[in-house]
Amino acid sequence: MTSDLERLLATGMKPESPSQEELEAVEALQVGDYEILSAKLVLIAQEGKEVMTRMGISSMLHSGDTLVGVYTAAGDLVAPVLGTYLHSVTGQIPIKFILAEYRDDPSVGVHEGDIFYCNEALYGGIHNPDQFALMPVFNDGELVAWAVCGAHQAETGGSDPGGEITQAKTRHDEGMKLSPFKLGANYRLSEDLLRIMENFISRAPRMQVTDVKARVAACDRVRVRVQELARKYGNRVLRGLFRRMIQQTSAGVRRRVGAWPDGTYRHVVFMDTTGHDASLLRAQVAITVRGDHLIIDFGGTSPEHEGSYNAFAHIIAAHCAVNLYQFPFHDFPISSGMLENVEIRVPKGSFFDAGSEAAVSCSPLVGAMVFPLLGVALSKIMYSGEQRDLVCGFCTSSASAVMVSGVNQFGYRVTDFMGYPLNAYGLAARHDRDGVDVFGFPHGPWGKAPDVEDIEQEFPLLHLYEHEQADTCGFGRYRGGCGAAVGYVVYGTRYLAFTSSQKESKFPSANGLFGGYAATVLPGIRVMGSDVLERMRGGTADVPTDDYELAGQVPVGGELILEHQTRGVSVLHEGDILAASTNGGGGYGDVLERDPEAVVADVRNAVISAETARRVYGVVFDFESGLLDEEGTKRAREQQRQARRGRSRPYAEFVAEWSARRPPEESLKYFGEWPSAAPNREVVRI
Amino acid sequence: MDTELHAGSSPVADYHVTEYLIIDTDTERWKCARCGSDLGPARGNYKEGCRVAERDPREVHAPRVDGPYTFSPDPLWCRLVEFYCPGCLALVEVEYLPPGHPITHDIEIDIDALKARLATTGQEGAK
Repeated sequence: MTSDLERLLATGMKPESPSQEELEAVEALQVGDYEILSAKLVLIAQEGKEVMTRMGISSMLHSGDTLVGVYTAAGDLVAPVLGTYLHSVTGQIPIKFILAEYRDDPSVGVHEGDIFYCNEALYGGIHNPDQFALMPVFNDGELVAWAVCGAHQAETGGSDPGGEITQAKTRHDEGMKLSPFKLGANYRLSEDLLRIMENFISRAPRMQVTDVKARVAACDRVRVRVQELARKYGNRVLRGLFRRMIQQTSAGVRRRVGAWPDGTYRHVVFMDTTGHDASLLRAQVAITVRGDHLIIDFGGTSPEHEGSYNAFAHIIAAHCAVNLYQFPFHDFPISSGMLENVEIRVPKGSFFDAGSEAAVSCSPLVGAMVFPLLGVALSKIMYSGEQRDLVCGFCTSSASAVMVSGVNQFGYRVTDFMGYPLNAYGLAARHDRDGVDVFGFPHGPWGKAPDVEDIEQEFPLLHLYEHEQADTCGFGRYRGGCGAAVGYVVYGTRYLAFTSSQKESKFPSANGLFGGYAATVLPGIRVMGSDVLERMRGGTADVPTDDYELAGQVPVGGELILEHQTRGVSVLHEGDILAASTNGGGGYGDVLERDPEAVVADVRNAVISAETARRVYGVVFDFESGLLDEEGTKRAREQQRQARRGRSRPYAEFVAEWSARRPPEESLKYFGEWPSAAPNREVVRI
Repeated sequence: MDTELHAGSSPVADYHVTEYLIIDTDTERWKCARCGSDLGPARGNYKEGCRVAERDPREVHAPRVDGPYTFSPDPLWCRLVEFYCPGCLALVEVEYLPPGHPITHDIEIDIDALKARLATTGQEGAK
């Protein structure tokens, strides 16, 4: 790794220091320049995104794992239209790398009409399914900006289909990884280089070539519009405008952090697999507020391992941006100024910052541990101030979906994520309301869940069921949003391969807030050799309608398999059933404070079971009529409070006994030392 | 805001930290926001002033099937640690932890900085 790259990975997400010329250009802006032109830049990015979406074909490109943005000449982000906040920080390092390593290299150079391309996490990306096109924007011979367009593509030519290779042991199992390179010059793509990519992505060659062109076309549209702007207003105005946009965000963040109570706020979550092997892995955070400075420290996180669930430090920082932009800083312009005053510390050698040979194609599944970590810890900071309405535990760290690969009913080869489950997780409860059922894609709120008809048109699948699933929400005074029950039957093809990078089958991460319970875990479910298609052809309604029925309550013949949700490639045949359901969000507050009528309504709406209403919420009601027994509920809840007294002890007494306990040895294989999580073994990658 | 402050709550000294936790900045003590019970020094961990119970996750998240994957957290890997107000028994906080894992000191507010701020800006946290 070059020293430039090492420096950029550590600092490249923060804005470059302003030159004197830039600061003078800020001062020279006229009234209205900032307000009008900053909005114009966002519209330009939006136009670019429209171009990409209309040209591209992969489902992730359509469902929203995307970025189109305008960057300064130095590579700082100033105006994106997102898909996912992850990419609000990922375009910067590749631009800065190109400038540092290639601008003055006569064999490469940076010229008007150049088209660069990359998808390598080691060079500032998230994982290699995320492919980016980058174009410099020149005016009057001067480099004035960059246009970047990125989108996730669910095939990388790895050892397994789908891009997120859960069985990968090293980077060498994960397929095409391109450090930034010049894909074209003089506004023309190089056919030979396109052919190299097409050849590499032979499971989905049409998708690869079409979507490369879609990204580049979007970039070029942004390039054209920014160039027009520069011609009209002059390069100096653009320089001043860009710097002002960065300053606005940076100043806003400083003001907001400065209003938070100084202190340190901590949270801890656990993962239950390395991608290969069941094990506990710890991820923890300590957020320190000191004046207007924010430190996010992930010290104490478990060591890296030989499995596929590893990440790099800048990937974790990008996931922090997802939380920060969706909650405390949601109302600021999206620019590189956001992280200027935020210090993110990730321990080297942890599974949050693994060695360069590590498999990281599943890194969003690792980075997503940040979602509940920061969701809970930031909520404890914000509750006391004017941002109480934004307090929210956020969501699960599962945040993924099954991927399928095969030949569809029309004879075309297809490989893709299932876009509906990806966009159907539950959002945690807030201080004054329930969470949102099947709210969306945790990485970005703009995702689009495809309709059943869209999926059945493209893939050889029938939907056995797709709806909210009872008891998947975290319980509390306010309940979390439900996850979705999704069941597919393979139909119209002889066989179909699938993999899954969903997780949380043994240990939940979608924690509640202030006494609210977490959302529960889900098993991976499939039924091999079911007779469900025969039943459907016979017109019977006796088929499973949710995961609980599929898992044994309504037998459908064949072999029922309950396993961890993370799975390597397996083959399904026509008639086999695969569940791809999603987790809910955490609850808020004490369950015994939930309005009993709301509990009865939850039962009526199949959000929770009658058993949960009785046992967890202490609500007594008549199941047939739905009428609440108010006095019975008061008595039941008082009994539950007294049961709390009976089973609890003073803290010191509890801890004396608790701290002598230890989880089973098989759960600590990759945890690190117990309980410090310090590295305790050598990680070998060949 | 529907937060239920306890009967003896003082709008001047009480800094509302979470749904169930107040810091009395005069006495520098944690208090229950529901009943006013004392939960220990504000410079320490409020959990030390709570009653604590360990629970099997299956008591809250009911298993739906038998076997290693049940729709409920694995009780050998995951336990619920619940913290109750010693006065009103409100569920102040819950942690999902492997058995024996250290309890999280989740909120450690700089009391001196807080008092200095409140002296100049007023009682923001008691809104």
